[in-house]
Amino acid sequence: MKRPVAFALPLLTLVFCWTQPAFAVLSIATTGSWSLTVDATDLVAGAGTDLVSTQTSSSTQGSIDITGTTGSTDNWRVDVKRVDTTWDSDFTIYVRRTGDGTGTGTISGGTTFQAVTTTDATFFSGAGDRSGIDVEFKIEGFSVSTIPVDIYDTSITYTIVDTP
Amino acid sequence: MNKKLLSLLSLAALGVSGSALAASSASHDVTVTVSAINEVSVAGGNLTLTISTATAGSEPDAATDSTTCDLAWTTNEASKKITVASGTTISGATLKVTAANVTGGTSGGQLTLSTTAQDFVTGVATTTGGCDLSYEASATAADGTSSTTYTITYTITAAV
Repeated sequence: MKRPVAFALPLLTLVFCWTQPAFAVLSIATTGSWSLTVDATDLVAGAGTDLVSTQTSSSTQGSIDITGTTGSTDNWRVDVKRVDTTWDSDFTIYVRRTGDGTGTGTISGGTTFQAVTTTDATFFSGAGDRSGIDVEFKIEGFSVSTIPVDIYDTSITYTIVDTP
Repeated sequence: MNKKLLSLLSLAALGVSGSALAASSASHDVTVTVSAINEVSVAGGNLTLTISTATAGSEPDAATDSTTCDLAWTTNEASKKITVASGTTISGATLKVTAANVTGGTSGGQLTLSTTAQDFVTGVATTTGGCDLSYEASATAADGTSSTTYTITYTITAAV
């Protein structure tokens, strides 16, 4: 009965070493949020005109940090989707990356506004730890005819995916 | 297979499955507050109506204007109406106003202005709207002559 154990221990050590990179916990974190109030000051030209249809956040409204990579060649991808609490189907929300952040690796993609749906879609990709990746938001669809008085909430959710 | 081997294999399985756990999520919250918007404005500035002609044997001709002033509004709330009232009592003449060529509501017809608010446009939709302001001033010979300035106020309010 001791032989299988003696055989398994070196094998398991090898497996453990082989899987070590996976144990580096690839992680994504965010800072910032966007709270927007739309009122009469957002009418195109006062009474008799509609709301300005598009609202855009500051270019540094949100920030993303990616940590836990095994090094500057450890590739990853960030997917984005929205999780609605209260949202109007006439709204379209967009996100884009406005900064590269800092880090030893690389980053690419996501620099043009892309509509965020309730299904994950690739946002940007890169390698290595990156911090301070700025993002900007834009919402289209404001109109007094279609958007009732209310408070609308959604979460722009990013998922980091380890890639080969 | 003894228990120790099973435990070690379980650990190995955890190690392999570690790559499947190497993904995490974070989010930015976006909150949009759409406030109540109920804006109304008059375009065209002040209007002067002069009653100055008459046919012999008849009362003076009414003075009218339907092109100088317009009313415009925007609302994102349902069940609204627009009322009209004079700031002071109208005397020495009769002043009437009509909402003409209304979009985004229903005209209340020709109204004789007073200090009491009257329904000028009803059924205001949650949208932009507007109308021409058609004024008519009339007086009888017995009213004599006078010159008075009135402030006419249009208010968008709840249709109760």
